[in-house]
Amino acid sequence: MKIKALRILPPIAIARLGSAPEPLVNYSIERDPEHPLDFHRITGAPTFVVDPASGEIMRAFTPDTVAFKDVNPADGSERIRPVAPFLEIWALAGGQWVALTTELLRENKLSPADVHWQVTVANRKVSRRTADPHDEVSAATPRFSNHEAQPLRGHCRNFITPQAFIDFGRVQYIKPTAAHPEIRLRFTPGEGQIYGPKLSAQELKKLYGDDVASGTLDAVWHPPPERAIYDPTKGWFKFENDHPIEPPKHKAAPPTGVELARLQARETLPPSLYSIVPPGPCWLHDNVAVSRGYFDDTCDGLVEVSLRLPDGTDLGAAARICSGPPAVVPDTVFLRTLADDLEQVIFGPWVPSDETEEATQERALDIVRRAFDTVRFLNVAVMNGNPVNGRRPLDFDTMPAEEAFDVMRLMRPVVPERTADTLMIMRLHQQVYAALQAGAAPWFAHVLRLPTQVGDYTDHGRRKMPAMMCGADGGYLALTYRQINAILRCSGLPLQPAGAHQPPSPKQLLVARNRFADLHHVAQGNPVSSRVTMSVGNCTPGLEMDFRAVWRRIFAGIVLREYDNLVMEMDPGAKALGVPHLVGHRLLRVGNENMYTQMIGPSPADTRNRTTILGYTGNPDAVLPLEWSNALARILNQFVGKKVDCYFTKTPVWAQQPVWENEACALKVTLTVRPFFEDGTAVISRDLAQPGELTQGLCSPWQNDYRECSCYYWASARPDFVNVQSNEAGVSTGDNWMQKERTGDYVPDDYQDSRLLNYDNLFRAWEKYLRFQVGGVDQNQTPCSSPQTPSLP
Amino acid sequence: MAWRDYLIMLLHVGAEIEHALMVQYLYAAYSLDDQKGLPAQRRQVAEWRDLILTVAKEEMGHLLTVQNLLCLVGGPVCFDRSHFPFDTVYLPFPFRLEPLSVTSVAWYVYAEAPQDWQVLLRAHSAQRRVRTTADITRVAKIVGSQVVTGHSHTVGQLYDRIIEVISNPDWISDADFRPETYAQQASWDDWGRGYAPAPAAPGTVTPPRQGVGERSNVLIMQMATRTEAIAALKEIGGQGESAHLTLKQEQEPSHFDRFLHLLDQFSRHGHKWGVVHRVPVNPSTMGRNQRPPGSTAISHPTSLLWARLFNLRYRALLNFLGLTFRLARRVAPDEPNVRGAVMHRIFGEMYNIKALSGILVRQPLTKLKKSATRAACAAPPFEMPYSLELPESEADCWRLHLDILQSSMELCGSLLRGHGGKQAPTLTPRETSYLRTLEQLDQKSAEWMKQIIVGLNRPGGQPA
Repeated sequence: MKIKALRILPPIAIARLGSAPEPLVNYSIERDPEHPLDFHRITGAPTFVVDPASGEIMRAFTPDTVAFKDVNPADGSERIRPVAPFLEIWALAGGQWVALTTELLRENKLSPADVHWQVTVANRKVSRRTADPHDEVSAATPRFSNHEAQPLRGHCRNFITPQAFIDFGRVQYIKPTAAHPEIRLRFTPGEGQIYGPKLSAQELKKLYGDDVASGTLDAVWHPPPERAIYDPTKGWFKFENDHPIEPPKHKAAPPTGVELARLQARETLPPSLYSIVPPGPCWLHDNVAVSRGYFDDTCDGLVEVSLRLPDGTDLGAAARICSGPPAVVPDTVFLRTLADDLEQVIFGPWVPSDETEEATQERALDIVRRAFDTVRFLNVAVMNGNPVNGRRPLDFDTMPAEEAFDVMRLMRPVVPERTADTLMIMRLHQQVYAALQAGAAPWFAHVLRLPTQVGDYTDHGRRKMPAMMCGADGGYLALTYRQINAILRCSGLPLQPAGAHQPPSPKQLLVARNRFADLHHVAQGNPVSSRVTMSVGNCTPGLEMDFRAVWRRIFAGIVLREYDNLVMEMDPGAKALGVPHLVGHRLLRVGNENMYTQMIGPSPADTRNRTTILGYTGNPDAVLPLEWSNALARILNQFVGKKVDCYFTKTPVWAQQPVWENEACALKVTLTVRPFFEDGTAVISRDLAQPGELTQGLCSPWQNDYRECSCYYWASARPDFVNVQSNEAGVSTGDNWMQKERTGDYVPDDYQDSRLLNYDNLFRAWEKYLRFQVGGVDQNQTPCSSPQTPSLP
Repeated sequence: MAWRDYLIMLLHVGAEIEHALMVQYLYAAYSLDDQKGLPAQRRQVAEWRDLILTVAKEEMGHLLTVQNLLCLVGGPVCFDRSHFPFDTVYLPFPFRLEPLSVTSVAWYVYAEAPQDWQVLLRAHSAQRRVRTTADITRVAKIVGSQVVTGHSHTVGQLYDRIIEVISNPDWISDADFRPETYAQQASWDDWGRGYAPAPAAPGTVTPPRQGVGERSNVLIMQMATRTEAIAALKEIGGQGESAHLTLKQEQEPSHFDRFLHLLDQFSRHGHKWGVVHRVPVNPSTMGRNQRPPGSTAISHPTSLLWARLFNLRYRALLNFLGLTFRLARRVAPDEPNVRGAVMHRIFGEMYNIKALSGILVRQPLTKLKKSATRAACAAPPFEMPYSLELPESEADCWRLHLDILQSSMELCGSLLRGHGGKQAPTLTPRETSYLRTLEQLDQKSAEWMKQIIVGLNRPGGQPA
């Protein structure tokens, strides 16, 4: 069979950090049909043990225990087992896609040595903030076809020496054997180390006081000498968002006006997502956020493979990889995952015309299942904005508090305090699940939040589902249109966004189905936590990948800010495309769809029936830019590769967000919508994001975010409420996941409460402190069963 | 009879009527089959079903508002039905669970009609020469003769009477009102679940147009004063039964308008489409000797198990409703509490009723083999338990619920695994999944309740 084409599967693989030498074994999760409300069962799956020296798979076994951590025999410290995914090569041969093996290579007069790999990764978190390309940390292997581990050493112009590097891990071309003849590569991520500026003891003391040298667990931590590699004279150390980096800060006059606004435009959402010189967090301390200058060892990038056939034909393929924190709730699938967003791109926002009613019903059921699985980990009473032990709710980081700060209004609980309880709400969701299983059509479509309603802060709007959680736009979380439409279809209601659209052709449907299959390809040896189904979706900003970043280059010629409609850069080819210079302009509208909504709330005149725009001095029109994934879902589906009318502000608008008035007040530019995926595959196009760009909006280091972003951003990925049970008063009790000592008495998230993990605890020993949750309780290892039902995709 | 006592009695009658109407509407809605016919027909049938369910949800709001009125005047709450000596006096038509038909919809129109409309209908029915509107003529053709010979009291008249009594300070004194019960009353925030029109857009005063699924406007009003009580009565009267009472011109159509629309649509198309399940009139799980006259036995053994399961969940719902009002007196209203949990569980039981109704109408009514025509199917019996009285102590209330759960789990077990040497019935995968989920939910609920009982049994745990 002649090889006609190649693919790397899966098209996106997620590695997860950890310093244990042995990677995590392979496991999957499945539902227990006898106990449908239980957490998913963790089941062992065939695991490969690779000899690091030879690159061969020495043995394969199915584990009966999954240990997420081990203990370092040298010092007794806890280490997390990294997730090191395999990427397989598949070949189109004989009219079908088959695994590329030594035999198939032989048939084509080729050998494994003819397969060449190249891997390029980067960490651009710092350069995203400083706007200094010299702060980009990147690593690239040479083109290789041997089986030695290829280190991914991330170098940076602003490191103290050209030799200094961040260890992003390694890749290894697995040597095929008779037992395992398939062609594959393994990506082993970094250990989860933090790197920082090289400072003398004196400088450290000056910065942090005596505390830094005290050596106590709660003291300020600083990277050890071998990881203190950043040049402290460069911009990231002591970086502040509204200070210029060049010329040197001490000489610079404070920027004002447009200059200041341009500087501030570099800010991320949420802002100041980096470790700062204490005290933190910055929003409780006059918004002073002076960077400690830390980097983490996460990265994202591309794996590329090439193969020259004997007739001289060159075949190639690519896949994306990224590394991120461990999946600390391995048996739970979050309400909205990266898979949901990618599936929306693949199939469009509506329901595919070839999807059976049964399949849509299954999807609707799965959404409800994931909803109650997510609720399990939210302390609903606290997240609702209830007082905690008499303390005022505004003191705790919750979505209603965030809303109050955003619009400068008094804080209100979302639902009546008496009804806000984790187990109560979870049971209610489970009862909905039960009724749907019986075949009842969903009756709750009216309480689903549409993506255009995320800024509706009336009780009517805030009580829509999903409640109490944050979306990528900073408003209340909405599901993807595709998820919403699964429920609307089962309810017999019109789909959203409303309006006529061109249905896909049979060929487009076929391509979509193939992309879906690729996306969910289960590579041998890969635990479920390496798949997109286990990655937080389009939330703010995400953990493994900042999906918002994918949309920055969706319109040829311009580069948008990942979280709103500001044009940050022009593509080098913009002029050739005839696109005018638009840096600083705001994209208000595409076609006839606004790219923002306005935040509205109850009118004081009649809080239940009337509304008002929640404007204030800083945002008089209360503009809330919408997350791209939903806002552009229809446009991408209907106009990919085609031109579409885009309406920008007539002039640069760096700070205050304007609203659309009419066409005459806007600058109309016709832009081409770029393809999202590479031709025929499910690989996110290289035109949309360079290595490092899909993680650049995430926190640096990510450990900082576990302290700062409360669970309403990520819920199951960064749980809040664990070891939950009901007490004798019939209400839920449990621990805060960030609580050092488990007492069953929930400690509300308070940055100054010593009972909770602080920033430096996490920097110093995150592997010790982050506890895995299996079955909703602390468990760093779990026995696993044999699979009985088909596993989740 | 003292005036306050009389008022409480009238409110009990009102509660029963709201309850009875709600159940009959639910039964009619579940009798519709939206899985048959062409896609357009299925959409239409689903819309009719949603229309009836919307009205039923609003009746639930009325029922709760009546309970609030009872709290306000110091009367006991009432979720019972069919136990009054007066039970038919104010009922516009005899209580009857029956499939949706042109006749039943005509009765619903009559029941919800404004008083002047009913007067005209009765006049026209008695003397056809009396000229009137097309709507009245149409309804009169269907139900006219029975209306003429039956009693003439209607729901609207009942509310008129209640308003008359409660408005008179000589009959109901200011001291008869219990404003301190306000916090204990059912509130829209607790019970509304989003079933209300969205607020108007900024700068406007009219609510936006709503989709089919959003049309319910569940009115649940708390009240502390006579004025508020009268306003609440007028509101619920205006929403459904008696449009002339409406305080202000609402955009939403009244129940009467909606049923009139349904009558028009259904009589034109629906009754010919074969989209109504062959559900019986007044289905019953009782044996031959206990069964009330006019009821139809559900005799297929599997269907009987499902029907009994339905009755248990209905009973759990009604008991929980009563319990929320009792718990309201002892829990702090501004923190998560057991009352909040019970409210959520009431909604859970509503979902069970929905799910089980859907299953029942796909089960056979009897063991008789299918004839050439469509076989009759089972249906939700909505049978009242022997009593809705809650025990004196709260711990015993929970024990009562534990008993209900225990029975429910046994029924689930019989359906799933057989019972008493009998083989388990054949179930669809969906039915199996539902039963397993319900069983697990009940197990967890039982654990939860047992823990509450332990707390109540500790010294100082049992509320007075």
